[in-house]
Amino acid sequence: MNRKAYIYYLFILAAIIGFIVTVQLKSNITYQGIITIPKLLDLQNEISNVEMENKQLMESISEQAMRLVEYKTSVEKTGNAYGTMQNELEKARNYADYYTVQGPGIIMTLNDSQQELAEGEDIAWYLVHDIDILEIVNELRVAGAEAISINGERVTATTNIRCGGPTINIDGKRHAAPFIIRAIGDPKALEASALAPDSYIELYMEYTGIQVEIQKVEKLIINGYDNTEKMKYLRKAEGGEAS
Amino acid sequence: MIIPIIGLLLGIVIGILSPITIPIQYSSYMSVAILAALDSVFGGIRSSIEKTFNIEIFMSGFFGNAVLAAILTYIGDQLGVPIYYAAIFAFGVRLFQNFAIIRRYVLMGHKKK
Repeated sequence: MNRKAYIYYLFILAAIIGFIVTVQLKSNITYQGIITIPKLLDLQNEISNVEMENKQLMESISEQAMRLVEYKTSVEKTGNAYGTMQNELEKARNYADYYTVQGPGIIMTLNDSQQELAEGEDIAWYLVHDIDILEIVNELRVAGAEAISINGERVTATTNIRCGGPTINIDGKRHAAPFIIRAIGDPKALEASALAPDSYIELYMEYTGIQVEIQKVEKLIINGYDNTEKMKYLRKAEGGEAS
Repeated sequence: MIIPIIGLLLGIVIGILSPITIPIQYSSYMSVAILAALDSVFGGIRSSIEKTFNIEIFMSGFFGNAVLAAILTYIGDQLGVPIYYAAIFAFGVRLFQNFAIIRRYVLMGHKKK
């Protein structure tokens, strides 16, 4: 074997190794791990989420710009932005159920059953419970109710409805049967949702004879929420929920 | 011994001076190629100690291993299965085995002296 010849091969090989290693080092590649298909899908999801968020932020930018224009025109017209702000406040308070409102809707009266107890039956089956009220409120909302009150108590986003022994506590205030639920919305839709087969009333309350009366009303007035301080801990936050 | 080292330095210098960088999707090819080269080098050292060194076998091993490893990596990329782990595993095992044998030869040699 020719020693001289192969030393040059080794020279070339060493040069190649040196070259590869240096290029690799220079490329400054951080180790990514193996990219598997679930990982890829995750990343795709993440990208689309971020894009969605971006879009929403863009929308909110244009919205804010619109508001700015509104303020500016109102300042030009009347000298201040008071009127516009008043309007906005009214809208916000409306959403927060602070105002007494009116509109078409239904009045639903729930009363305890008058049926005689058979042997072995529990009297609890024949009473109106907090859970019944909750379910009915939810069904009314599904049917498009825009404002709901129970015995004059406005149901807001934070309203709690809870069992209080023989009574039901609504936002901490005791109420006894009969329960009068007022809901503003499309009267037909509201009534239909309450009376539909498979509705909560049909499924759980008909059998035990709990008295349900529904009255469609053209002009219904619902009181506003009267407890002013309800957002003690809530503050406005920047950005969305980070995962 | 001095000539391969000069070659190594030359390669490093070329690597630093050349504007080539590797896109991230080819980095696994590069790592497998480096491992194949290292495996060949250790194999070469071992065979030269055993006095069975053959430049044709050495060269064909060097390039053949690198190419095969690259092909495995490519297939793995297409299938979404990290097949190049097989190459890394095989080269890694052989590398340590060769190193162990070299160690024995070197230490025994010293003892005899």
